[in-house]
Amino acid sequence: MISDDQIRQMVALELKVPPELLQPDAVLHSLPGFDSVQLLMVLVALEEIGVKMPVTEAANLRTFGDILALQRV
Amino acid sequence: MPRAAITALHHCVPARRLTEAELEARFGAKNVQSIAKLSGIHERRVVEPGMTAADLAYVAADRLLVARAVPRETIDLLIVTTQTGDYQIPGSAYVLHERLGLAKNCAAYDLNQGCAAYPYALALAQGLFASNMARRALILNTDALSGIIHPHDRTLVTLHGDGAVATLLDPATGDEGLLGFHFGTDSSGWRYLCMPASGARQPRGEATRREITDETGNVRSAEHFQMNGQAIFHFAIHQVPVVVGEALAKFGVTLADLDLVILHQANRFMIEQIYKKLGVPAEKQFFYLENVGNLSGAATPAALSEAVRQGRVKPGALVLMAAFGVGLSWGLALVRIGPDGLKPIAASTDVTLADLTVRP
Repeated sequence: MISDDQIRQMVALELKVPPELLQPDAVLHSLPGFDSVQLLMVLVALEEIGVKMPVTEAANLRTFGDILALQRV
Repeated sequence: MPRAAITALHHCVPARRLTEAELEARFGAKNVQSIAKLSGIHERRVVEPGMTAADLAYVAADRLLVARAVPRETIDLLIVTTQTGDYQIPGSAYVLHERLGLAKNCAAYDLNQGCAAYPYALALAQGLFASNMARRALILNTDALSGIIHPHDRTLVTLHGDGAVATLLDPATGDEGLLGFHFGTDSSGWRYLCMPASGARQPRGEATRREITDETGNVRSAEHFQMNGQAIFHFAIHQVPVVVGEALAKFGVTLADLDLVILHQANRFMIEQIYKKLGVPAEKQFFYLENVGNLSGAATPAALSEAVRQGRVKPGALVLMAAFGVGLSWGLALVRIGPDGLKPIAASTDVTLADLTVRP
């Protein structure tokens, strides 16, 4: 199963931020240079690495902690 | 059992253009270019003041009927799909029935559906054909979402355009026609494409007019159409490939049997992701959004109509259409084109108020 750190590295790459900024309470849209389009790339990448979510969870992703809490296959 | 077949298509979009330059002045170049790169939409067509979705539908229908010399009294079914009708009561079908000069024996009604509208409308018509309650149907898919999107809602303004499509259905004479349908709903997501103060649940007043800026800078009020972009994107790229697989199994066909796969034209990246997941080869893909935008319920039939105009839909072609959106809902239709093909009708791509030969 994919680890927290692997998810952190992937999200950091998509959002173009240093991984250390991605603490559980980090609000995604407040990250430097955040672009809502990048978040869509994160959703694609999450699914590709086996992170599952119903549409209600995708709708409410707001912090990095929300991403870590998603179900991993 | 009688089967309906598509015998003519005509799509139209308004002349007025909402350009990237205008949007950059409003939202900043970086924001707009980022969305344009993802969506593949560089220009949207929007109605001018005084023009409605029903006006676009009127032009689409009237020009189809004239081009094909269809006696109007032979149409016994009119279905109008729209979320932006002229009135809440009556439905736009009645207004259009009068404007088009249709006969009293023609059944007419609206279907309040969004981006998935086309397969739903086709299926309704097919049901009436199959039960011998209709023999010639006119389907009008039309929306003018520009009128209900806040001008500073960057997520929606950059994506949506206005447009209408008219489809004529007649009885199939051979193996062509509407061969199968597949539908479904994930209503846990209905809130994510919604205009909250648009009906009895939330009456309009001072509170609903209040503008709110969300965390990403989109401005809207409860009286505007709203979208949770990440929810809808996730829904589309996750659910649509699954239901396409279900539909192919249900219809007993494979991708290799299909000549064209037309998806709801929401945004290019989303469509590409779905094609990629399904393994649809390039020659079976089609895009029609770059210069018109996401036309909501008119998007899928407009793409089919444009594909016909471009010569991509050959006689006898087997086409799968997958539309998805509001609800959250999905509708898929498998269609065989007739042996003589569909003769293109030049699209009406610059409709103005002056084109409304019959006014409401």
